Amino acid sequence: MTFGISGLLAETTIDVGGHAARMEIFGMTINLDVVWATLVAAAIVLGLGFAMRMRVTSGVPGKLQLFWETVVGSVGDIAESAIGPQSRRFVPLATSLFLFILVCNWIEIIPSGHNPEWFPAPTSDVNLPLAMALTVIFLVHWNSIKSRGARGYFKHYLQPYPVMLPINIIEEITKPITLTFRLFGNIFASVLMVSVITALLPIFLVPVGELVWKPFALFIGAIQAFIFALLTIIYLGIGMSTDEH
Amino acid sequence: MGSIAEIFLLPNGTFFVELAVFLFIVYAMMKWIIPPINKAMEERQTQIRTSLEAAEVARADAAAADTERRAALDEGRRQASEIIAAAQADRTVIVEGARREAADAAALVTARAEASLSAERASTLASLHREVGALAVSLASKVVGESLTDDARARATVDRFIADLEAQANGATN
Repeated sequence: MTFGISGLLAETTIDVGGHAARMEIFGMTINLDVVWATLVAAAIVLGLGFAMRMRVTSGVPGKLQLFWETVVGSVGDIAESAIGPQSRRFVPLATSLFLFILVCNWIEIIPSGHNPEWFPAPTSDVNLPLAMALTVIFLVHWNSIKSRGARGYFKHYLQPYPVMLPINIIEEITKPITLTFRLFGNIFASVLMVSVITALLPIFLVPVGELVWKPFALFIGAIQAFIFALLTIIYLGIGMSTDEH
Repeated sequence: MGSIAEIFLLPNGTFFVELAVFLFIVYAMMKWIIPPINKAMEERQTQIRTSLEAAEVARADAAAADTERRAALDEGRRQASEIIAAAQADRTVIVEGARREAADAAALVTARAEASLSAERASTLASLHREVGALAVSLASKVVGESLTDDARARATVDRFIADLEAQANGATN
């Protein structure tokens, strides 16, 4: 009975967290599939950026420039409302985060037919979300010290009452962890869902399942990219705020 | 699940590659991609602001020109009214003058005509005195058969006759 059903399935096992290609350098494992998917996503983002740069005009903008202006303008507006006049220098960071994560999340839409995928979403691997989250949190603390001064920076851990010190420390420690795992978890689950669809549905129903799931995955990818960029701006805004609690 | 390196929830060497790629993207955005967009957007905003200011100046100029035009129009209308009023006054003076001249000319013509008529009448009367008297004396001489050569008496008779005629003519006219 079990053998009969498994004959109809595209895959009989679900490989969780597997990689299509790996290599070892200096005793460290490199997930090659994630690396080249990341490079492709970076090439797409930078390619769009340089393509826009070549024909940028202060007159009537083309479609590509209009897209960039919309993204940069929206990010700038959000940053200004959260951070204030100093927000301008964080627009490149927040724009990079949004567009790069968006493209990384959407790369998984291209199926390679291989299990694990040859082009997995780089954000479905913990390394990229962690790299971005640590960068963001480093910048938050760095700018917080610059904005408040070392004394003000350490003083805010005692706000509103000194007894809150442990909770404030835990909050700061959890920020990079939640930032990492929110993105990673959502996109990893999205990729896993494709494996589940492939493993649970008969092979002739797999395209139907994917047709239903992939648009939703695209939506999740866009939302997660937006949330990551938004939280970056909010964390920077909170960190640089000089208002007393 | 084997060694720690195989646990997918933990980062591995890929982290450093991903970090480098991400930092390069942020650098590229900061250095080459975002500044041209910001510059283009600022230039466009400046152009729009300049255009709006120019439009505002043009609108103010148009309003000033319109006010000037209305003032000129009002001044023109006022001058035209004055000219019309002056022309009407001149016309009245001219008409009155012409009427007076015509009346004077008519009076002169009438006086001349009357003078001429009086002269002709006097001339006619003199001629009548002369001719009718001679004719009447001649006729009476033929009737009575004698010469009525006493000019003084004859002339008195004729004059009386003519005076009677005039009296009758005047009585008939009145």
